[in-house]
Amino acid sequence: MLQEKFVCVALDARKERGEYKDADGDFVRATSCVTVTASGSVAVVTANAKALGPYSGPGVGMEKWLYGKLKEWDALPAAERKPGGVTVPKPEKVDPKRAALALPADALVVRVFNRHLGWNEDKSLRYAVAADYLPGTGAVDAERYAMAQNDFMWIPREEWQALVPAQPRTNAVHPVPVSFALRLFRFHLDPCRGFTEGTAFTNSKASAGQLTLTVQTVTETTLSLRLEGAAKLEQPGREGPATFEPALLGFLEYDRAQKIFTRFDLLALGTTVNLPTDANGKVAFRKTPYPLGIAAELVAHPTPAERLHPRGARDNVAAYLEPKEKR
Amino acid sequence: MKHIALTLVTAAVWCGIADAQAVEPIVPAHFDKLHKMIRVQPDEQRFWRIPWKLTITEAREQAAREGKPIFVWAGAGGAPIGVC
Repeated sequence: MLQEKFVCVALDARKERGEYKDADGDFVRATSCVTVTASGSVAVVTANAKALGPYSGPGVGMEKWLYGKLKEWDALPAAERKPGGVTVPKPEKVDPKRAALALPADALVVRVFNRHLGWNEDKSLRYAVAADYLPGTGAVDAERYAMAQNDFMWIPREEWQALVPAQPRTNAVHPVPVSFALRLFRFHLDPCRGFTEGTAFTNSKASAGQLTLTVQTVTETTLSLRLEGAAKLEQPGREGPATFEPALLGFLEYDRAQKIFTRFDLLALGTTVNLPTDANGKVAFRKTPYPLGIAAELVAHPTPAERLHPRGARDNVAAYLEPKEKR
Repeated sequence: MKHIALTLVTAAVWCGIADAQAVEPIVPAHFDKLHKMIRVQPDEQRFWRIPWKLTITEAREQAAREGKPIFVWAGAGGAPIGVC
């Protein structure tokens, strides 16, 4: 129903309500269409800034609520509902903080999935189940925790160009750019993603791991690279050191004629301990060491939604796009 | 003294790398299976089937053009389709 009857927009409640000083922020504040709450909020509004009301409560009642909103919509004057009936003014300015979170020109977009896993008795990997989580975790919550969690990685043009050896030779081994290693270690090998607002390992140095690129095949028009290595990420924690020690493997393909990456598949797999934590630093969700998998893949032609900024860029875009070694 | 300090720095960096290398590597032959296992599955993240907009202006323009109401989903820490 949402796809057919509504236009859907996903927003950062805190920034829209409190930070952005522009027409979109004004619209949000005027219609009160977002609520700053950890569980998220939904609301229905019209293009000409009429609020049809917020929704609060368990998700199971949402369909009925949506039908109610459509009834309210149908009760509006026909002139406001007909296609082209409302003129939306072009915004005079966009808040610089909002503009800073726009996808940089020619940046590579890579979609990143984090997934909690478990071990079978023979140490082979399996999907996580309710018993892997803290006692009292319900089946619905456990199912949600065991799903792939979503983030995006942005690789600026200069950096992905630096991943391509200038004179590739089969079996030659190259280091990855330091900024790429730092972005992975600080922002994308993070067991907190999908679980809390918190972040882990944001102070990591490039020496926290070792990554290399090996030329697998090279022709006049194509180049295949294998990325491999490992990382040992660690930070202090209230209940002991928090760690994630993944091995990494990836396969990259580059079209030398078009000068674009056509494949950017990465995999990180390892054991994590004492993460994620809650807002008080207490270990949440899982108490014992567990396997965490992170898989990434190229988004060749990002949709508007796939241009969503990475979590790591949310609070400091420059630190994400140009990560530098800390002294 | 300078030599000792340099040795210590070098040793520290090397230790980090050596530890990292101790992690069991991923077998290339297992890559496709593991990558598929970890990526999103067809029954997960169904909200991604919806063509979300990320700004009110974009949503208002499309809603006005098509004559539809706007459904707003907001998260306190970021757009809930991904930033958490």
